[in-house]
Parts: sequence; structure tokens; C-alpha cells
Amino acid sequence: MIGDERVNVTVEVNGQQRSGEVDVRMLLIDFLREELSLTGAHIGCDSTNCGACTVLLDGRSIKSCTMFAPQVQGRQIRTVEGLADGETLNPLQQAFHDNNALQCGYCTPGMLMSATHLLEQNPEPSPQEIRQAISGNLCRCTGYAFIVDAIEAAAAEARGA
Amino acid sequence: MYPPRFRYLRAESTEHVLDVLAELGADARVLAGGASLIPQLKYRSVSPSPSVLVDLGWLDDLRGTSRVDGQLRVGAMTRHVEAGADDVLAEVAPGARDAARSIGDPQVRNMGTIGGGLAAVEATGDWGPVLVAAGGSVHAVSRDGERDVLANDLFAGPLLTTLRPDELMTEVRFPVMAGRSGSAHAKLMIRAVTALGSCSIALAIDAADRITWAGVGVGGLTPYPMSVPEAAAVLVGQPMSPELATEAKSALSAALGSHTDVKTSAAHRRGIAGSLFVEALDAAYARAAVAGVAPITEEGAS
Amino acid sequence: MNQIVTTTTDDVASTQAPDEVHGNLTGRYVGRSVKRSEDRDLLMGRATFVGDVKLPGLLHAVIYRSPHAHARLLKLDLTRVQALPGVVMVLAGSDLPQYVRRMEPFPFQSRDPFLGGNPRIKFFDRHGLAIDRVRYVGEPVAVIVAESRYIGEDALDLVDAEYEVLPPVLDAEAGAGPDAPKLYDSWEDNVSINFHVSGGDVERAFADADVVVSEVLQHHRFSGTPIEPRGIVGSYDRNANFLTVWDSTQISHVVAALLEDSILVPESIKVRVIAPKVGGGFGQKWGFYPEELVVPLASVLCGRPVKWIETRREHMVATNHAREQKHHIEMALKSDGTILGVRDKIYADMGDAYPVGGFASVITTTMFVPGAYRIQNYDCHLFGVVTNKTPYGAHRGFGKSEAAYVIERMVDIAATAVGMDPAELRQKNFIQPDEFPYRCVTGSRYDSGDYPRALDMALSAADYLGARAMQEAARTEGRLVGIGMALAIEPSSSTRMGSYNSGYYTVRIKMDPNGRVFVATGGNDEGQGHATTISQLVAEELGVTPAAVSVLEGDTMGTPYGSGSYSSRFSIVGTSSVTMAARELSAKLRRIAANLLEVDPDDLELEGGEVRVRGDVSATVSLQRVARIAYHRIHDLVEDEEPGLELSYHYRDPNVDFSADERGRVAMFSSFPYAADVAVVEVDPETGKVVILKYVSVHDCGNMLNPRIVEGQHVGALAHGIGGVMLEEFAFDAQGQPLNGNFRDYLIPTALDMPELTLDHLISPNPFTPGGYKGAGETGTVSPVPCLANAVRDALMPIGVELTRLPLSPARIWHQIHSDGAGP
Repeated sequence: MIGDERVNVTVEVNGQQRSGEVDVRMLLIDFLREELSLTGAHIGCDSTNCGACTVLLDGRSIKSCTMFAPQVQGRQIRTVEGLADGETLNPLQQAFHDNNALQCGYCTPGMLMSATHLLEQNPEPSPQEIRQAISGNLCRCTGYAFIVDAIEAAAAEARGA
Repeated sequence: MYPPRFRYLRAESTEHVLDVLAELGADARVLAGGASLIPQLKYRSVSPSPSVLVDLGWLDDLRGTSRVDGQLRVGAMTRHVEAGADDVLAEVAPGARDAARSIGDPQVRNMGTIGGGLAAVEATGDWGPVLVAAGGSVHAVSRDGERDVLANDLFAGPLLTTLRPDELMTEVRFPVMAGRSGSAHAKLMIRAVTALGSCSIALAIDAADRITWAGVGVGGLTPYPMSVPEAAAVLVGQPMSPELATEAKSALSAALGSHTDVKTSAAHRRGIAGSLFVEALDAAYARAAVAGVAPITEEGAS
Repeated sequence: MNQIVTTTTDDVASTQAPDEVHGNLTGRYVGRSVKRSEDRDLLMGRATFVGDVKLPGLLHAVIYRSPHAHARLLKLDLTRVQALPGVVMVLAGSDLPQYVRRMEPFPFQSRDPFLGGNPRIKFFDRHGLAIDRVRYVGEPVAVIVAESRYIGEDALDLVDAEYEVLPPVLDAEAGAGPDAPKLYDSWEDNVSINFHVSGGDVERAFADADVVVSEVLQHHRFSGTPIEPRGIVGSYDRNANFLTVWDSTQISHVVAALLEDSILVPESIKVRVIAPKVGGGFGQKWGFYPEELVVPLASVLCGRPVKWIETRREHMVATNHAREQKHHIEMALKSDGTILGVRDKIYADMGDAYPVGGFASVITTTMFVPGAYRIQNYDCHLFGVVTNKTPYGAHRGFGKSEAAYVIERMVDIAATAVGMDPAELRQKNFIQPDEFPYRCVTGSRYDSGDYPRALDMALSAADYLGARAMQEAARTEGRLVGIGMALAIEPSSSTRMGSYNSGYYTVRIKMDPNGRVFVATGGNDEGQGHATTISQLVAEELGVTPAAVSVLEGDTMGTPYGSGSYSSRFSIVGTSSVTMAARELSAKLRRIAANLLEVDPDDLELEGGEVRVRGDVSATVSLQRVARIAYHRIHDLVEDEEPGLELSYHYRDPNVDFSADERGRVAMFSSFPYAADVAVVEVDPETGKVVILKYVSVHDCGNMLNPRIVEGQHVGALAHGIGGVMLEEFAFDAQGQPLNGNFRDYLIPTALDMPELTLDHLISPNPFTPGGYKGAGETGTVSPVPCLANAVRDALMPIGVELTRLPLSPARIWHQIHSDGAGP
């Protein structure tokens, strides 16, 4: 038989080596949520549209509902659980809090990861660039305005502006 | 939503993939970025469902661009985000950069690949019309040899290519035009991230500003990406003028056929085609007229 | 996993709002933008939603659903499903009657005729799964319980079912006729709701009219589509005959009661429902869905916990839709623009008859078609018609949005007919500020407002005259620029006879022996920030910090009975109940302290965690000491003072009546927030694309308890309204197959689709409640629909096109411009 039905996946998640033996069809989002108990990333659409499952893979934002766990073997993942320093929110999380950028909070982890990716690429984004950067993350509560404000504020904070 | 069972194989090399495809044929599917294939698998709409997925994600030699023999070769596993940031691609095929930067959303651009996008043959896919307009091709290899397939011959129907199950698309090839050339890709967005249709134009002009060559491709306006030679033919040999644009636009609309579906009617598609055609033509011509000039907008010509 | 939320210390320092609005009621904490205590867990990815609930031995349910809009189910063979390794149990519709009674109706508690037989509502017995007939694509047919979701979906492929396809009913008006195929053989026709309401003398109004305008206006189907789909986990304790259900619902207590009502075996089961973090509700989680019965039942039958998480594809067909109505409406006017009367006949497309709230929603529409205008001659006849579509249910804006759409469209159409500016016609007919409280023709008492001023503010913020000049210039260039406006009322805090909406709100408050405060309510939170705002209200009354207050909602074990979250009722009855409960506790604290300090309780105030004599800083006693007396030194209490510091308050809405009069009128809503919106748009006739050039909204929701949260609610609501009118539509093909299976086809706005918003506030406090608050989160859903439709209509006027269909998507607009129908 060509190929495997189950594989062992080892991956660096938020700086720690994690591994698990899984069915090869297990989606990355389920690997994170069910195997590694990292339930911050959520499933909202199953079809690569809502972005609630967004995590960073080797530094780039991806939708973890549209990737199989074996595809991340040996790679680096960052999830929302890795943002804060202990109980201290990171500046982006703090800016979301300060700017009332969340309501139900279900899309928030994905939104934070897309914003993290943006700010690492572009420390001084315009509001339009921010809107571009989160256009793959649907939010049904906020109408986005305060999210854009929060990301702008976090960028300004990081620049010391 | 979860896919049916399959076996997973990590591709070690192109040779490895070709061996597997030669052995399994349609029983195997190659997995590129997964942006199209994985949702289809999750919807259990892939028929027949593959028993083996061959993950190409590890083949770095299928990634990146190179200029060879008057062509710009783009590795099939080059991600949209990488294509959108590639200066050489932007110079040779600015319309391709328009497309690369406007496909899906940021995460999809980080995941999806040019080869996967072409092979998916989605109605509103962007690479199809771009490659058709450019007169480009894809390079396919198998145990039995290799061949170039012209973009116009690549699409066999919705979600269907003319590649054989044992063939692997390794490169996407854009001709490098001598002299003054330009291209552009225009889209009508229903909403950000979601296009109703697109029109891609590539053209070359001579020193007298006459159009010497043109290619026109459409997406979303026909059941799958197609070239519209009727519109291109009107342009060739003429200097640019509003009258010429109107005439070519009419030829495009007339050639479109009667693609009516749940999204909209053929008549509306003709209206959209006309609008997009003029937008793409103006941008492509402007780019050709100013050699080496960057694309008109940062995020696609729409 | 319970939703206990405490404001954290780091937020207390930042309670001074930068964005105070003139005239807002402000105190130490109320009226201030205290930062949300709910945020931290959500931002750190450690909040618990239903999908995050893990229990030992957890099984996973998947649901086999009807692939047809209308069919007889001839055969359902689950043998191969059961044989698949990993499948634990299957349930078909025919299995259910032995375990469950027919599902109780919702939101009405009774199948019996209402007073005077108006409304006449037909119900159909259901047990949660279809038995021999399916009536919409997505109707649940069988439940499969498996060791994993992956295996469950494998099993779905093995279901062997045969159907005889029947002709579908897909249009309400046609479906109401005698020749339409019938959905229910025992009914004489497909009309499930027949309701008539009238007031004044509408015949006379039309006889006296100089001008009568009439139009057929259709509102399309859309809904709230929260990003968290629905989800349920059931876990049964056989020894205690106790079923615990985690449910992504807006109405924990009601679901618990309905489940207890419905489950036959085991007898007398006790049910606890916990709504943990809920990822948005918007009305879609207000109902008693088949899954809310069959998934918990499966856990009882399996003896193991069972989880079901809705997929987005399921959500699009199995979670209620809303809004689809067709109005044949007429308006009678004097030539000077005075509106004399309105007559309306409504066909509401109810989808299939499932108990998810559409009944109440469409009746609400009939109550508020007169909108913000002095219309005292009114007649409306509603036909709710069952069709082979997903059931019509609640959705933010609940029937009021449809009413606002038609009246605001008609005002513009009438303005054209009498040759007036639409702003002028509105100003002429508005209910005036000095007329409040205003008894509307259908019985409700509008609490307060200043419509003329709000519209003026919006027009001025939009530079109305400048926009008209710009439009004139654009028209000479052949461009289609339009200006639209709307003043939309959003009646809130509904209550009605015979329903689960009972017009009261219960709060339990406790101060423990250490002076810490615990509040539990019968409400639910899906992101509104109740814990934060409750802590503000309580801190205001008790002189503690918000951080000293912890809040529990959504868990039926730990909270007093309540009807949950809907109709913006937290802002009205919820806040009132919290304040009154805190005041009663404050009074008790002061009585105990007064005895200790030997002063009059009325001379005492609560401040800084102490009870103080007003004007005498030395005479104080800490709350902790008072609490210790209440709990542990009860011999220090005066006679008749009960020990402890725990009490319940039942706040009754003072501005509602329960029963309808002989003309169908009932005061069912108690507070009337509203917004005046103005939009400028441009339409591209070649593509049909509409671009919003300017959007202004002036919002009046009374006092603002937490201005930043209110603003967030309004902006979010506007996104719903703008998305709903511009992009979103649940559509079906001629066979009744849904055309929207996911967020690729059902287009909700992204960050790039929201126009820049210009916002302002006006404050007309609610005179009937202690805080003067009104509903804050729904008006924005309502106002953009007529506002943008009016703007597009205005844009199309030079080319002689009357807008008749929504949404304002490129395809719909293009086909209306090119007059070859409304498109595919």
C-alpha cells in the first residue's frame, strides 16, 4: 500500500514541541483543538471563508480548517494561546480590550492572528491595509470599526508613537 | 465537515510523485496548497474520492520563478503571496501580479498555489484568464515524458483540466514579450474577496502606439476560464482609441455565449464583461505605453 | 464552564469614558465606558464555548437531513449505518414517539385559539425528526451517534433513503391559494397564520384622500448567521435522572422547560441547561430546534455524553431564516403630504412550520407598519404561509425591520407622488416630541423620542443640500447618484400573551460575608457585555468597585428563571431589575448599619466599600462588617430584619399590556429606540454595482449605560443591516434547493465592505425605567435596509426604474435596470 493511514505528527506550537499520532485526514484545526487542547482557534464555516481558525504557520497566517495535520510535520505554529506573556496581554490583545474590539469573541482569536501577521509584515499599516489584512476574517458582531482602531493603536504603540 | 478516508504520502521528489502517479493514476490526487481541493474533499464532492493524497508541500524545487528561453517560469507550488511579491513576474506579466494580489483573502494567498489554482479550474479563478490572455502554458511531466500545454488547451470544463492523471504540472510559463507590452487583470467584486467575473488583457504595442498583439481571457463570465480571440482580433493592428475599445468590447460581449446560472444571467455577464474589458484594456495599454512601469494599483486592478 | 464573569482590577482605573455624550446619565460607573470584563478569556483563547466542552466518553452526533424540498419519505434504511465500526446508535423519526411527546410550540405556549380567535395559528405535531414526509432541504431525518465526528460523516454516506418528490411551494402568495400543493394534508390550505389588526377609520381615510399610492414591496430572506454555529452537548446522570445540556442558546431556561415538557421517557427527567460563552445569537439561537430535543435525548439513550456541532452548511439550511415578506401596501394622503391612512396585506413566507419564532415575528410586523408617523387609520391583514423552505424565525430586528422597510419606502414613494422632498414629507407626518408617550394605532405606547431633530441632525451631518447639489451635477454627466434616508423605529422588550416572553426579569443579588457581590439573572449573553454593565449598575448602587461584582447568566441551576435574551430586553427590563435589586440590598445594608451607628437609614450612603453618614466622614462602617452582622451576628439585627444579604427582585415591565383588544391591538413592546440614517450611493448601470459614498446614522437609545458598548452594538448592527440589504440573500432554485451552502455563497460583509460611518447620538431617556435605557443593539439592523433602498431608488429615478426587489446586489440591480425581470 502506498501512503499511511495514521502518522505521528510532531510540530512546534508556541515554542514547544508537541506531537500526536493521528488519522491522516485529521484537520489541523482538530489536531490543535482536540489533540493538543488548544481550543482558542475556532471552526466557523468549514469552507475557508470565515477565518475563525486562523493560525500562523511558519510565520504566515493560514486557515487551519483547510490543512491536514500531517502537512505541518516539523513546522512552526503559533496560536492565540501563545500571544500573552503569562497573564499579561500582549499589546495587540490589550489594544483589542482597550478599543472594545470584540463582542462575542468567537472570531477574535483568528482576528488576532491575522493582525499579528500584518503587524510583523507591516509595522505602520494604513486603515485600508488593516481592512485588507483582516478581509479573510469574518466578524458578525462588531462591524469591524473598533477592530481596525485596535490594530492601528497596537501598531502605534509598538512604534512608540 | 470532514473528508472521507484516504492515505497520505509525503512527496520526496518530483520523481517520487511521478512514480506514484504512474502506478495509481486517478486513484491518487496531488495536494498542492489545498485551498481548493481540501474544501472539496470536506464537502465529499470529489468523485471518485482519491485513495491517496500526495502532498507536494515539501518540494521546494517547484517553487519560485526563473527566466529561461524567453519565458518566465513559475514553479507550480509557488504560493499566490510569493507570486504577488515577485518583481520579475510583475515586470513580465503585471496582470499576473494584479491577480496574485487579489486572489481570495490573505490566508488563502498564503496557502494557495498557482498550480493548484489553475488545476482547480474554478469559474472565478484568477490564474486561468491571466494565463490565457498572456498566451502562456503549463509544463506537465510524467513517466512517459513531458509537454507544454497552452493555457487555452488546459481547461476541459468546469473543475476539469486536460492533464492526464499520471501527469504533474510542474511549471507555469509566461512568454516574455520583447518591447512595449503590458497586461492587466480586472475583476467585478460582489463583495471584497468574492468576484462575479474577471477580464484579463495582455497586449504589445509598437513605436507608433499601434497594438501589435493582444490576448483576452475571461473568468466567471463563462462556465470556466476562456480566451476571447474575437475581442483580441479587433484590437490588433489598431491604435488605441475609445472607438476601438467600444468595438472590441462589443466583440467580447457577442462572443460570450449564454452562460446563465444561479449567480446571474448571460445578459448581465455581457454588461460586466464590457465594463471589465475597458478597465483592463486601459490599464494594460497604459502599462505598455510606459515601459517598466509598475501596476496601477497596489491590490489588483479592480 | 459556567459563565461567571468578574471585572478585573486593571479595568477599574480606566473607567473614565472619553466619549461622553451630552445629556447622558452619568454616575460613578453608569454612563461610563468601563472596559469589558468578558474580554480577557476571549483574547487569550481560553473561553469555553459549547464546541470546547469535553467530557469523558464523549460521543458525536451527526444529522442526516432531507435532500429534497418536498417529498414523501418512502424508505429509510439505516442498516449499513449501524454496521459501520464506530457507530454507536441511530435514531429515526419513527423511533421518537416512544421517547418524546410532540414538541411544544414556541414562542407561544398554547395551541389553543387566542382571544377572539385572532390570530388563528395552525400547529403541526412534531417529534424532532421527519417521519414520512419532508418539507424543506435540511429537515432532520435521522441522528447518527458515533465515536468521532469523522466516523459520523462517513456513516452519513451509508444512509439508504428513497423519496417520492412532490411539487414544492416556494412562493407565499401563490402558496396561499386553493390550487397550491399542500404541505399538510390535514390543513385546508397552507395558511398557518391568519391575523387582522386595525384601528381608526381606514375606509374614510382613503375616501378623503387626494392621492393614493400603492406598491408591492418584497423583502428578501436573510438572517444573522453568527460565526459560532449552533452546538449542543447532552450528558445524562441516570442515578439522579438528571440531564445536563450545554447549548449555544439565547434562552437557557426556556429550552430546559421545553425539554422537560417533551421528554416522555425517562419520566420526570430534570434538565439543566448551560449556555456557556455563546458566539453570537442575533435571534438564530432563539427557538426550540429539533436538535435541541434529539441530541440530549441521544445522550439519555446512549448513557454517554453526546455532542453535536452544526456545520456551516447545516446552518444555512437548518437554522432559521427571516425577513421574507411581500406587502401589498397602499397609503392615502392629502395633496399637502399629510398621511391619512395605510392599508397593507402581507404574505409572509414562513418556510416550514417549525417552532423557531417566526409566528411572533410576522405578527410584530403588522403592529409597526405605521412607524414613526401619526397614522391612526390603519388596517393590516397578515397571511403567514408555509412553504418548502427553511423555517422563518427570529432575527435581530424581528419583524420590525420588515415594517420599517415598507413604511420608509412608501414615504419616499409618496413624496415623489405629491412632489415633496422626502425629508419634508417625513417632517410633516412625524409623531412630535410633545406627543410622547404616544399611543400608536396598534396599541403600543411609544415611550419617548425626537424624530424631527434626529432627522435634521442626520441630514446636516450628511450635508444634505450639498449632496443634492452633487447629485444634480452627477446626473448631468449621466451618473446615477442617489440619496436615501430613513427614520426607523425599533420597538424593544416585547412581551405577549400566551408566549414565553413574559415581560418580567428576575435578578438575584447576594453580598457574601466578605462584602463581595454576586448577581445571577434569568438573562443570557451572546456578546453584549452584560457582566460588565451589570457590575456598573450594581457598583453604582452599592458603592463598591465593578471588580467586586461577579455575574452569572445562562446556567439554569444557578440563576433565577428568566426568558433569556431577545428583543433588547436586557437594556430595558434587565437593567431595571438589576438596579432595583441592588437598591433593595442597599436599603437593607443601610438599615443594618443605621442600627449599628444609631442614625436614620436615610442619612446613610454607600461609598468606597463602606456605609457612611452623609456629611460625616468619621461615622462609617465597612460593608464587610455589615455583612458579618447580617450573616453571623444576627442578634445585632433589629427585630423583623431577616438574616443574610440575599434577595431576588422581579421587575415587571410597566409599559406593556398583555391582551389584545377586539381589533387585534396589543401593547406588546415597551420602548422605542430609533435611528435616522442618510446615505449617498452611486449605481453603475453597466454592472449593477452599488457603491456607498456616505453613510450617516443618528441613534437614540435613551441613556447609554456604557457608551462604548452601545456604540459597538450600533456599529455591529449597522453592519448587519448594510450586509443584509446589499449582499445577503437566502435563495432557492425552482426545485427548492438552497443556493447558499456556506459563506462563499452567502455573502456577509468583510472589513472592506463596510463604508465609513458618521455617527451621532441623541438622548431621549425612557421615562418608564429607573435608568432611562432603551434597546441599543437592534436599531442599526433595521435602518440601513430602507435607507439604502431609498438611496438606490433615488439613483435610478432618472432612468425611470422603480426598485422592487432586494438585495441591492449587482445581479438584482442590473436586472431591475434592464427590466427583463429580477434576475436568476
